[in-house]
Order: sequence, then C-alpha cells, then structure tokens
Amino acid sequence: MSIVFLLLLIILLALSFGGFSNKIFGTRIMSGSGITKVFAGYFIILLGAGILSLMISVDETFKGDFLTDKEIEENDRLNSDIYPTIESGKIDEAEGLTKKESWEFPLKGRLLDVKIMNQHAQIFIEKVDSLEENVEVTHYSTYSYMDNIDITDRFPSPDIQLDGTILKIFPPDHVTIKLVKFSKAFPFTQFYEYGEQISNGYGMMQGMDFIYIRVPADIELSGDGYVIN
Amino acid sequence: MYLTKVSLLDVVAKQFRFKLKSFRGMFTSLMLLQVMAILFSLGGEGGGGGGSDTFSYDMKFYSGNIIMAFMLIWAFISAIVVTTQAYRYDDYAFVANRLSSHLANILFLGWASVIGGVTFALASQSLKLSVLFLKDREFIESHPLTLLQMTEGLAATILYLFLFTAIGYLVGMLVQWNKIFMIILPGLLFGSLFLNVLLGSESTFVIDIGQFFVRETSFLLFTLKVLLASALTYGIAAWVSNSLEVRK
Amino acid sequence: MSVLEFDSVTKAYGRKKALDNLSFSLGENKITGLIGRNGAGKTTMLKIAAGFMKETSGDVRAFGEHPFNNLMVSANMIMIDNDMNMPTALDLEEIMASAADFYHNWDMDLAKKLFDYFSLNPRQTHTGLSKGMKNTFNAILGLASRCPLTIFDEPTNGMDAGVRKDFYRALLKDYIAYPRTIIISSHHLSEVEDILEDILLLKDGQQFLHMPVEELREYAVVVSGKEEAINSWLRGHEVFHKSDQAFGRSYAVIRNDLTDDQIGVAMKSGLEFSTISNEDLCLYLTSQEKGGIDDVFNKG
Repeated sequence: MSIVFLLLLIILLALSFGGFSNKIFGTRIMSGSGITKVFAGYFIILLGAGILSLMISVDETFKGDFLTDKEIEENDRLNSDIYPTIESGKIDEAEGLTKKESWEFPLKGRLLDVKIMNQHAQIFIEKVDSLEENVEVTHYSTYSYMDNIDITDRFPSPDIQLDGTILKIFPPDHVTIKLVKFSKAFPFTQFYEYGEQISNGYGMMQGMDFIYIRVPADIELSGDGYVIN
Repeated sequence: MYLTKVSLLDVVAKQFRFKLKSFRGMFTSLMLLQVMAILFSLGGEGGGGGGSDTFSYDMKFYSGNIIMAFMLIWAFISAIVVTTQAYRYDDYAFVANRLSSHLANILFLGWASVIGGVTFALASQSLKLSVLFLKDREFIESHPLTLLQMTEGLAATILYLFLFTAIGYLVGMLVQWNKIFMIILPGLLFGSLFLNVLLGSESTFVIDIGQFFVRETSFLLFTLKVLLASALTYGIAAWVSNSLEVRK
Repeated sequence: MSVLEFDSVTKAYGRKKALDNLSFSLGENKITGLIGRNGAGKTTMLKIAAGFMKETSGDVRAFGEHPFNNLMVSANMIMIDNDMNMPTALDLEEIMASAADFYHNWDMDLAKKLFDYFSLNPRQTHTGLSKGMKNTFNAILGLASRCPLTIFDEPTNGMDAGVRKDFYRALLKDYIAYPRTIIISSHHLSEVEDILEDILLLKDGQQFLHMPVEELREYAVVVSGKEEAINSWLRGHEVFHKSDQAFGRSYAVIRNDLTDDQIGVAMKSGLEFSTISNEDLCLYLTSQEKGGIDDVFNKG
C-alpha cells in the first residue's frame, strides 16, 4: 500500500511543478464564488453523513467488551496454567474460566458411560461423596477473543443428554462470525493504549472448552473422559 | 494627498481575507481528493479469516488512514502551490511585503489545515457509515473514543496537516530559490529509502523524523513538537525566500 | 517633499546594467511621463520605485523610505503594468472588492462607473480578458485606488484608440480632483504629452533629460538647407540628429540655444528653421547613433 502512496506522491509532485497543477490545485476548473457553493454543499453532505453515522451506529455494532493488551496477556498466562489446575481437581480455584451452562441428571443404576460425539472439548470426571442419585455436568470455557474483543459468549454450550446409562455430549452448532472492522485514522489512536494494538495484531484466539462432570463416589465409569480421582 | 499609515497586523488580516477568496481552489482539490480517498478506502484495507471445526470467522478491515494519507499529501502540495511564482506575485497586486505575505500564507495554511481536519473527520465518519451498510457483516469499531479523545484526535489531525503544510512551504521555497532542489529533494528522499532497502535497516533519516512525531504518546508534547517544528520550518522557508525578488 | 528620489542608482543583471547611476527626484502631485526606448531601463526603474526589485547600488527613497519590501510604501503606491498578476479564482468584481479592502482611498463609485463605461463583465476572470480589456481593467484599478504614488507602465498597450483617449481623459479629470504623484511610461509621447507636466527621458539606464514638458518644446530646433551650408554652420552647435536628404539638402536637429546673431547668419546662408514635435525629438535624442534607419540603406 505504501508503494501506491509513494507513486501517487511522485505523480502529484510532478503535477504540482508542471503547469498542470493549476488545473487541479488552482482554480481553472471553476471560478468565482461557485467553488465556495460547491464546497459548502459538500460540507453539508459530509456533516449529514457524520451525524447519521453517530445515530445508527449504536444498535448495529458488534456486542462484546474490549480487552486491553494487558488483559489479554494475563489471559494467555492463565491459560497455560489451567490444564494442570483442573487435572488436580481444583477447578473452583482456576482463574480465567467462564462457567457457561450446567445440567443435572438423575441416575438410574450404578453405571455411567460418557460418550462425546465429536471431540471438541476436554472432559474431566470427578467422583464426589456429596452426590448420591445425580450427575452434575458443567460447561466451562476460557476466554475467546478476536481483535481484542471478548467473544466468549458467542460460543454456545454443547447439547448434553442422559440416555439410560449413556451420557451423550453432542457438539454445539457451528459458529460463524463475519466481521467488518472500522478503525479511526492514526492521529485518533496515537495517544491511547489502543494505539499499539493494531500493529501487534492479536488476531483471533478461540478459548478451550471443558466439560466437568461430577458423579457419586460409588459409580462405575466407562467411555471418554479423564477421571480425576 | 495624505499618506496612509499601515500596521503589519492590519495588512496581514486583509491579505488573509484576500487569500480566503483567491486560494479557494485549494478546497476544490480537497473535495476531489477526499472523494477519491473514500472510494479507495471502500475497497478495504485487508482482512483475514480462519476457524476450527466448530467455528469460522472472516474479517474485513476499514480505516480512515487512506483518507488521512490523501489529506497529508493535499496539505503538502497545497503549500507548494502557494509558494509558486504566480501565487506569490498575487500578493503584490495589492499591499504586501514579505513578512506580511508569509504571515498571511501561514495563517491561511493553518486555516486550511483546520478545514482539512474537520472535513477529514467527517469524511472518515462517512466511510464508517458506508461500511455500516454492509448488512451481512457485524460491525465493530476499533476504539470507542470519549469526547476528549475525539477532540484530541481532531486536534492531532489538524496539527499533522499543519506540519505538512510547513514542509511543503519549505520545499516549495527551496525549489523557487533554486530549481536544482527539484532534483535534490526527491533524490534525498528516495536515496534514503533505497538505502533502507539495501541495508535492510529499520531506520532511515526520513523514517526517524516521522517516528519523532508518530511515537509521541503525550498529546501535549506532540502539540509542542509539531508547533515548534512547523515554526522552525516556516522560519527557514521565510529566510530562504529573502533571496527571491519580491516581484519581477 | 519629493515623493520619489533616486540617488545614483544602479541595477545590474550580471554584467549588463539596466540602470546606470540614475539620479532624479519627483516632486509631489505631478504627472511625469517616463520616456525611453525599449531597453532604456524604464520598467526596471519603475519596479525599483515600486519596491518590487532591489537596486544593486545607490539609494532609492519613496515617501522618504526605502521602497523594497516596505509595507508603508506598498500601501501608498500602486503599479499598473502589463504583467500584473491577479488571482485566477477571483472574478473582476471580487478583485475590485479586494482592492477596496487593501487601498484606503479606493473609490468604489468611480471604479464601478468606469467598469460599466468600458463594458466589462463583472463575472469574468482576469485571465479570461483580452490584452486590451485586461489593461483597461488594470487602469481602472490604478485610477480608483487613488494612491499617493500611482505608476502606469505602458498602460494603454492593446487598448483601441477610443479607449486610450477615454483613459487619459479620465486620468486627467481624476488627477485634477484628487492630485497625486503619477508616473506614466509610454512609447508614444504624443499620446500622453497633453496631460504631462514633467518629462523624464531615459537612455541606456541613465537620465537624459528631466524637465517640464513646456521647456522640452523650446529645447530643440530643426535647421535645414544646403548640405555644405549646414555643415559649415553646424560647427559649435550641439547636434542631436543630422540626416541627408535628396537634392543635396541636409536636415539637422540642434539644441535651441541660438542667439539672434547666429540665427541671422544662418538665414543669410539660406538655412531654414522649423519646430519639431516632442515625440520626434525624443526619438532623435534617444537614438543609439547619429543618423537613423536611413543609414542602414545608405551603405553604398
């Protein structure tokens, strides 16, 4: 792109020193107060467009919170710790996790077969004494973001069903995001923290999904999933 | 017949009024360039896409940077045009001396920068508006700015434009002083860029100067830097013009 | 007080001197005609007077100040010349409005009346005018601005005869109503001499003559007669021009400082005296060599 500008610059420079420049930068095109009127008209159109853009932008924009660079770095750090934390059974202490949905199913019998229909999430199973006749399933995920915007909420939870003794985890619907991003010109971003973001280009980060299953202590498990204890 | 007493400020004010009319062609070119820049910008600045089993995404980027670049070129060239003989001589059709002529030019170019900055902000919004009409896509704006940040951004735009008018003014005066600068100046610019490519180094003289302004994150310091640099540049231009005849 | 004063002013372009040690002084509220051949330095002199150019050496004073780059002089002076630059963005009406803003004494009423009289179009641009129309418009600017020092450099170029007459008449009327110092340079002395008070004749960048027009009329006399008679009689007289005519007759322009005795002697040798028009006189005075175009053809 910069090459194009450079070329353009050269052309314009050449024009400005030739007699041609007066045609473009001088006023041989229109004379007298006509120019002022045309320019005033142009200004009014711009003003109208500007006001309109302020009015309609509110409800049309992409929903999501902005994350600062610091928050994203922090997240990256947390993400690397999260696996061992969950593995050691301390999911409640894990930071940077969002609890998205939970299910509870009544158990018939002492058997549970966990089946994931499409490997998109990590499954952890914990046997707990407090549960007797129920299975508790919770879907957690780490943050997802795209160009510094938190899009964690965009990802739906999987569909989970208990069919007899089989706990089936169906993959969620495919998510498609089509975005258009408008950024202000550089003088508008120069003085703020955001200024550096675009050049760094964090791009897209999809979060990890965890299905955390709690079952009564005396249950017999089979199928997918990592059993913590 | 008694003699008219004149004060410098009075003459500068009159010349400024005169230039508002006589230089209005500059606003035609501003308009043309802005429309062109908006059209260029509508192509987008790039994008990206990707995904996984469960997710795909597609992004397009738009920004006001292309329009801004056009505006900077406009400011630069307009200032050069102001220094050309025909425009310099226009001053001496009526009351003027060198100082009043320079001051009125600087005042006018400052005014043009303000107009340029304001129309740029609006043109940038117009671009945003047309991007909003891309209905199949969700829209994000990179940074929701506060009113203060908007104001500072606008001021910075105007300052950048003013800086470029100062550079253009100096370049124009140098060329008027000696046509050899028509060869020397582009030579220096491109020489420096070629060296950059050849040596594979990050910094060249031209880029370093740019960094001095672009890397400044304090608005106050930025303002100070631009104003001082512009004053210095205009000062040198005025000094260079001393060796030119007032009018032939 | 003298409005414009040159004291041994020289302007050199490289080795060529456009003005060579020129000294003169113009009094207040006079119309002075600046006469000289092409290349005599008229325009150079006027541009230095107007402050557009800097002299190489010597001292120039306009209203007691050095005119170059001088705001006070600029505000009290207007120079109308053929290559006057006007912004292309302005139409004629706007140019007049700008002039009114700049020049304190501007008379918009006069400007408008002259504008209408010469049937100019207010919506026209200055660059769009024909040469004659452009100079007519410039002349209106020069008149209506009523500057204490008004300079016209070849103001009537391209104007047709009627407009020239009208312009000079307008100039004279306005000058009588609002006296000011006016300099008009022209090739055609006959055209302007009726309104001139003083005449300043330049030759080779030097002042050749500076005197009231009335005196110029008495300055020289033509003597003609048989060649031998003339040749013998001319000794001791200042001869500006001499040419041979048919049938052995000669014709000479000499300085009119003759005593009655000299005239008597001349009459006896069959010489005749006549007057010469100022224009012709100026031509002879400023010609490069004795003789004239005839010499080119008289080689044989």
